[in-house]
Amino acid sequence: MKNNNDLKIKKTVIKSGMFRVFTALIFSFTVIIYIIVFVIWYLKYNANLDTIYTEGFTNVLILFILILFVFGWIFLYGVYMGVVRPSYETFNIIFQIVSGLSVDEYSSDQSQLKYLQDFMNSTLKQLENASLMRKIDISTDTEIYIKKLKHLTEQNKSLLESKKNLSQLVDRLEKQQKLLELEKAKTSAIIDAIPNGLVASSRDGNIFLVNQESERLLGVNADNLLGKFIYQVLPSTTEDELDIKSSNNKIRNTRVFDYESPDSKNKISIENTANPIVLNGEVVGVVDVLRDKTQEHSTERAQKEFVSIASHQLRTPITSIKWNAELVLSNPNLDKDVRAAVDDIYKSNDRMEKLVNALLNLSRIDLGKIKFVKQEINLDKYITSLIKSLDNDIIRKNITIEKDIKFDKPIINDPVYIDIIVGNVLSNAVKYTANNGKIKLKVSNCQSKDCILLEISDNGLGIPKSQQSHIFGRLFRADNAKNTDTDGNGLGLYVVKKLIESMKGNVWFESQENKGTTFFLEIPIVLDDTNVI
Amino acid sequence: MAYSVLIVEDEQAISRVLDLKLKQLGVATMLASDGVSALELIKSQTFDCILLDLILPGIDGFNILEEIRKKDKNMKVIVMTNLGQPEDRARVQKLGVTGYFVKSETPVTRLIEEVKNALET
Repeated sequence: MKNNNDLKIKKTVIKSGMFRVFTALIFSFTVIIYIIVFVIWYLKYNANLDTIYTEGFTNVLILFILILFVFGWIFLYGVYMGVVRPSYETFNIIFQIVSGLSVDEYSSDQSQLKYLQDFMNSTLKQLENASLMRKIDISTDTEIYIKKLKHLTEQNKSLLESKKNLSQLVDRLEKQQKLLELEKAKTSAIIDAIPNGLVASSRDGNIFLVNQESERLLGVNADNLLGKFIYQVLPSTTEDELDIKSSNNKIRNTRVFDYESPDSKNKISIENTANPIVLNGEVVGVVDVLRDKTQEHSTERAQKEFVSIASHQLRTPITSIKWNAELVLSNPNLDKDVRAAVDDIYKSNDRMEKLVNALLNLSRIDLGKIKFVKQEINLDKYITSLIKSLDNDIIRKNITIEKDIKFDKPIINDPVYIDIIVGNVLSNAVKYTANNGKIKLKVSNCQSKDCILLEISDNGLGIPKSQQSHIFGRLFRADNAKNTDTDGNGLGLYVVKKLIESMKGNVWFESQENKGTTFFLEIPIVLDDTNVI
Repeated sequence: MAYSVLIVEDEQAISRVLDLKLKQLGVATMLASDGVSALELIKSQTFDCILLDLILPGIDGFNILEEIRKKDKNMKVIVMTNLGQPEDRARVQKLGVTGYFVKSETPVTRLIEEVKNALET
């Protein structure tokens, strides 16, 4: 390897402009010295050329040096032309004798420049001195060489400067790259440390970032996630994702769905919170935060199922108490106190039954188990029977009921759930209306939608303004309602709202404390039971 | 001739009330507290009306109803249960029943009235 390298260095030196200049200068020196010597001799020996060769040792020495120069030049020229090929070591020695520099030193940029500058300066000085002292014109060729040499030196200098700048630039870029890599490593360490899955996608749904947890949850490698469409990876998020993007909705959107990985190994329940990425007020993408809800979900489900099963089980003893109390009460010869006691048992049992029913409905809503069974419902007939079922209280409180039904066609809906919805609102109206009060029931066509509008107004307690926003909340009861009726469970209106919304209907109210309340129920004429809860 | 009614109900406190109430009306009653004995009675005897609970030990009320319908399409069956969900109602109504009552929500007098109506029509 060393030989190859040596050859390379040697070749570089020979082919360099400097070597050529060097050779040329040696030639020029030879010629100039020859001329000088010739002039001295001519003057000394009065042009007697016969005596030139006979003048002792000095002349012979001058002649010898002259010949040495000639041979030196011939040798260098030979080397340059490639006719003479000295070994690296020989070349190095000769080069060192002539230039004072080793081949290695010369070939390095700095020494080359330094040498060129020094050489040029000394040559120029010598030439200038020579021309001044001897009044000899420097040949045009030499001038051109010197100019070229100057030019080359300048060029070399600016090249070296550029090289220096470039290497500084490269250094800076390398440092920046290292910083960027560090930042990247930090960011990926942070997102990988998050215990939730992260999938970021652009506005058009292209995934551009995922973390380790998302790979684990989805059972798919990052390579197979990046660049894919979010809808392909999380198909069930399509609607929400589209919703976020199309409506520029900046609100977080959470949903739970069952997921199965492509290899069917991961079957889990995932909670996905879609967070929009907002830039200058525009949604430019979405970060989906995924959480494994399997365990939590099954515990929650078990709890809800327990409520459902327990509610069913509770109905049996409730029936038993109800019917046996009825049996006792049907005896006309019952002692007055015993009758009152059994009557209390009966009423308490009824309350318990209502609570169980509310719990059961609630657990079905929570479990997403609502299934509608459609049937024709004649509203007039239905409302009449509903009022009749509340007759006990209506008569006891001497409440006047007004019916105004301006819709004579039957509706296609689920009578069981319609009964829960309308029954809850109407029994509330009866419950919270004072003796001799008045309740109005009005049915009309909705203005815009294919639905009926049922208005139930009373002149009862009303809902305090400060509590109106909570009225549909789970287990919420207004203060004045709590004072009037201690039996309520705070589930009725929550269930009403949930059920009517799952029917794609609507419920709202207007109320003034101590003046009364009107509930508005928008119920679809034909129930669309696809995609219920 | 007195009417005969089969009461299929596993809860004794409930079936006893029904039994008493029906006997007061002069109706002959038979009791079955599980699915197997109910089916045996249905196969061996004829009844004017069957009061049927849906959740029973052994064979459940849905299966009993299916068996009844295989044998007799016109048998009057009144379902009394604590399953109140629309899908349960729909499943039962497909097989054809005279009435469907959620026990905890229905006064026993209402149910007895229904049996009386069924027997008299």
